[in-house]
Amino acid sequence: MKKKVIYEIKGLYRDNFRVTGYEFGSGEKSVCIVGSMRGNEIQQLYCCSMLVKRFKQLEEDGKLLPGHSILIIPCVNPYSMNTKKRFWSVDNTDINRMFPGYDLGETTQRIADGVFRVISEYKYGIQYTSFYMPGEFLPHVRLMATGVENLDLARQFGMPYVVRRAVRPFDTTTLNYNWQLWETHAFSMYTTTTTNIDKKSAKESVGCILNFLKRQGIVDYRGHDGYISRVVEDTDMVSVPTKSSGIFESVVCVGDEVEKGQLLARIIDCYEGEVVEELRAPADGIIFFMHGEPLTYSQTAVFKLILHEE
Amino acid sequence: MWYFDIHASNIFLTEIPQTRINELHEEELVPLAKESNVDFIWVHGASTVLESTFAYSLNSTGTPTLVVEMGVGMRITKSYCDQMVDGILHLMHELGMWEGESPAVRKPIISRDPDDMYYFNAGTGGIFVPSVKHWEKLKKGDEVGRIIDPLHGEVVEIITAPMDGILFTIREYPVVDEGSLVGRLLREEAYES
Repeated sequence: MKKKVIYEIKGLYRDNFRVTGYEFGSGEKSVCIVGSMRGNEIQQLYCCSMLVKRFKQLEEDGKLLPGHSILIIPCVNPYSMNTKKRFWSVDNTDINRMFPGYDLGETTQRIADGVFRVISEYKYGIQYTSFYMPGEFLPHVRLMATGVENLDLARQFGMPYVVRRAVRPFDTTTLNYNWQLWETHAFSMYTTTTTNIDKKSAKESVGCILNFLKRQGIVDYRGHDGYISRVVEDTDMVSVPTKSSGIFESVVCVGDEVEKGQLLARIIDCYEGEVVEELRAPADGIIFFMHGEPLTYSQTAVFKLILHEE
Repeated sequence: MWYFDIHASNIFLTEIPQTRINELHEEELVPLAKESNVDFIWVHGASTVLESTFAYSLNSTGTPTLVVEMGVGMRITKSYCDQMVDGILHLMHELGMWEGESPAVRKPIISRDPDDMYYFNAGTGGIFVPSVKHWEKLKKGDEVGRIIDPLHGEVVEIITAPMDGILFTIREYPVVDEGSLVGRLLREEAYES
């Protein structure tokens, strides 16, 4: 294992800002795995730390197949992680909206540029990322429909679901999109949580990544084969929005199968404790996403359901 | 119908009252912007990320929308607000919507060339202390500001103007990292011609 500095900026009044990578094997730049890019992506950081530990062991055991180099970057934004801010604290910008970056631009553009120069050359790119809405997901691999996405490869992770979603204009500055432009097969990995650690889900995602790498002939891995992934388009998911604001009290869990009309959650009046709204499943399906904060606004999609296949 | 989408920049940068126009909508919007009492009209290139904005969406569906940036975020700059109100009333008068008082408006500088702009990015982290005022005309070599080491008080960088021009953006928030935007200069040829 080689620990290396991917990008560095001189610190203002503390230790320098450093993006650290861990390299395993040698040869073709086969796979790059990126962890947290935002300061609250704790689960993403944890998953990468588990991968580093695992790859260290695999390398010692001679299980990395020759001719392949693997790079893991657990954290692209240690400064924000230290201060518990999601975005870059000095200007509130999101590094994952700055790709491919610009070396003479603003700070987060420079960070994106410095990191992307290194990682754009890899054949496969896997990013542990988070959703813009706070909440819990069913674990899945996500692809952007850029025209060059590869669903067959995505299935080889063995995650329960593969989600393909349409590209929106602001996606054009994300790592995943730019990886694809630069001909890296790019995948976004979602486990259950972001701001807290779910060890079970983390372990499952590590196993899925190793499954994928085994199938690409990069590692010798013996473990669970994973799921036969179901491919879902994000436009096929059904959102359940609130009409009221208040305390969000769920009665279901992510992954639950629900029937049309089944009670999913109650919205409670914050001052008087009365139930002001009951949210019910609009159709038979599976809870794919659930709002993760105790309070909710009105007109907020607090659940996303995947409908059963016909 | 038309809209003003009025912004006050972010908390980091102070902007002179300006209208920013996507080059795709230049033909329709520049004549309106000229009557709105801004100091500067910036016609910029199209960018995919801007396609998600409120103004782009309205302009694309045929509702003229002018994006205004002025002052600094989370602060009231009364003079700019008064300037904008005069601009709105004047434009309404020109469009036949307002029969009341129509204040005279200033003639704005218009820039269409990205090479008209110079961006000052901090070369190092520290505390930025400006040496000039906002909207000040500068000569090549004039000092724009200094970056100070917050622990030792030493000057770690002096930022100077690379050309003659006018400073239309200046940093408000003093803490900078390497790369932080500390100002924007519009070169003299853009407004003296």
